[in-house]
Amino acid sequence: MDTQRLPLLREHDFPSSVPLVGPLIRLVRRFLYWLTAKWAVWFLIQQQNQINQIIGNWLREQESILIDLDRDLALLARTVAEIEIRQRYLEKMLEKIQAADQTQQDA
Amino acid sequence: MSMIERLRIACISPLNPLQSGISDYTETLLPFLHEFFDLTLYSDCGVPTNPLIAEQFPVYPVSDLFKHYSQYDLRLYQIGNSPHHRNAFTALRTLPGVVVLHEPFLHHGLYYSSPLYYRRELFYELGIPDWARLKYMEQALMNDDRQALMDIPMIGRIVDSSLGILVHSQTARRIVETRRAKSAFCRPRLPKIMVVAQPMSVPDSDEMPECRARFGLPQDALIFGMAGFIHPVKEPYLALQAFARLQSDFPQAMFLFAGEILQETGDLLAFARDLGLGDKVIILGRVEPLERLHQAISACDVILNLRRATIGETSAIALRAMALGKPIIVRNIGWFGELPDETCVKIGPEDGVEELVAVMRALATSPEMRLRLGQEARRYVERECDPRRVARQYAEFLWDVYLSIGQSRV
Repeated sequence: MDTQRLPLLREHDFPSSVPLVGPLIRLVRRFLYWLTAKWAVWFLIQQQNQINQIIGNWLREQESILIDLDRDLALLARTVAEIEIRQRYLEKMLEKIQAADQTQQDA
Repeated sequence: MSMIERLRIACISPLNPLQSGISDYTETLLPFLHEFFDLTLYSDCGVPTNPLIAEQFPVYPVSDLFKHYSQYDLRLYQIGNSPHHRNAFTALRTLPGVVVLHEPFLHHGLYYSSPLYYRRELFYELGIPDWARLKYMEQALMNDDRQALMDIPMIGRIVDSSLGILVHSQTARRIVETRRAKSAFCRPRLPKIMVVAQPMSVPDSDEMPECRARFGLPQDALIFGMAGFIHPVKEPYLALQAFARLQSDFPQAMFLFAGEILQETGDLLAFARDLGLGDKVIILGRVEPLERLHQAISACDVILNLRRATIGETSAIALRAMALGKPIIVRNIGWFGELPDETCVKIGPEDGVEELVAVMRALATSPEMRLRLGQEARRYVERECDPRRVARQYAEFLWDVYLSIGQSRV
């Protein structure tokens, strides 16, 4: 999801597809809406837009943190791989030394 | 080389039947690498079609590497710009190793593996979630605008996490080093990087008359050829325009396309007809097996291997033609520019039809020049690209990486 562009909420336009009288129906609907709900809906839209903006900002922050973590993961993976190699190398060296010791003792 | 005689290596690579240049590459190299290392292969190819590979090496799916990883001293990834590496990209993220970077440019491979994964890698490179840039890059991908994409080659994670990187040209090496310098992150030390030649066995030369007879080509024609995948970046239209200009002086000349014409290339035959070359241009389509491709190349007098833009790649087809003793025409760009001047004919990066016509004419009029260039090219491949030599370079590099890490202090 593109968190940079969360769309703003907006009021419904109450369209009507009825031929000829459609614009009149739309006007009546809008009038009723204006009379009964506009103020409350407008208030809710403002609130929800603010909430969305906060969530959008938060998601962007999280994305940046994830990128940092991803980068840390790459470096950590490399470090772990290097430690693995060192460990195996030392194990082999130890085996060689133990085998040499054993040969010496046997002799 | 040390108290340890042989390293156990997990080699992660596509293999045939996965159709990829890297499948052929790995199969060429494996028998020689096997002289130095105990190899186990990880590939999503199913059963390898090459019986020598199937019999000689254990082969597991790439996802099995997560179960087996502790059994190996090193992991060796063959990585290129194709979705065949999808699972290798995933493994590479948590199980880094030495990477053979066939092209320092992974846009197509990552995007067609998974757009989500592509996004992750792009943001990794940029250091910020830049959605506008993502859209721009996706658009450039769709338009195959390599110049725009080259700005961010998508190799950041590989540069950060690999234990060593092998590339095939100084151009590729420069791209890796430049990318690191440009990076938004303060990266750790750059892994060891080494340039190794692309291995190429020199096949026995097929006799030209015999090869021409096999493809029904006239014996007395002067044949220019273009082989491998025919992609717009190889400039087939420019080649045909130049070829058309030669027609008045060399009416017996022909142009042979020995390779699959990709969809984005369009209708080459229609273009040839518009130029009045309908009966002079032959399209063979995909030529299999390899021996037959060699015969098709051997049937030509000159091979064109142009690039409008390079992504730091080498060309196996160019090397194959050189190994077969064919003179090639390339642009002085990227790896092609690194080829010795005596082994090929180069035109400038920005040169157009005029310059191409001039070199094609020079080659057409001088059989001696064609012979000399072909001989030098073959000698170059024998000298530099011998798989045994390349395997030895691999061995030196892998031992160097292994010992420098194994013997370093924690």
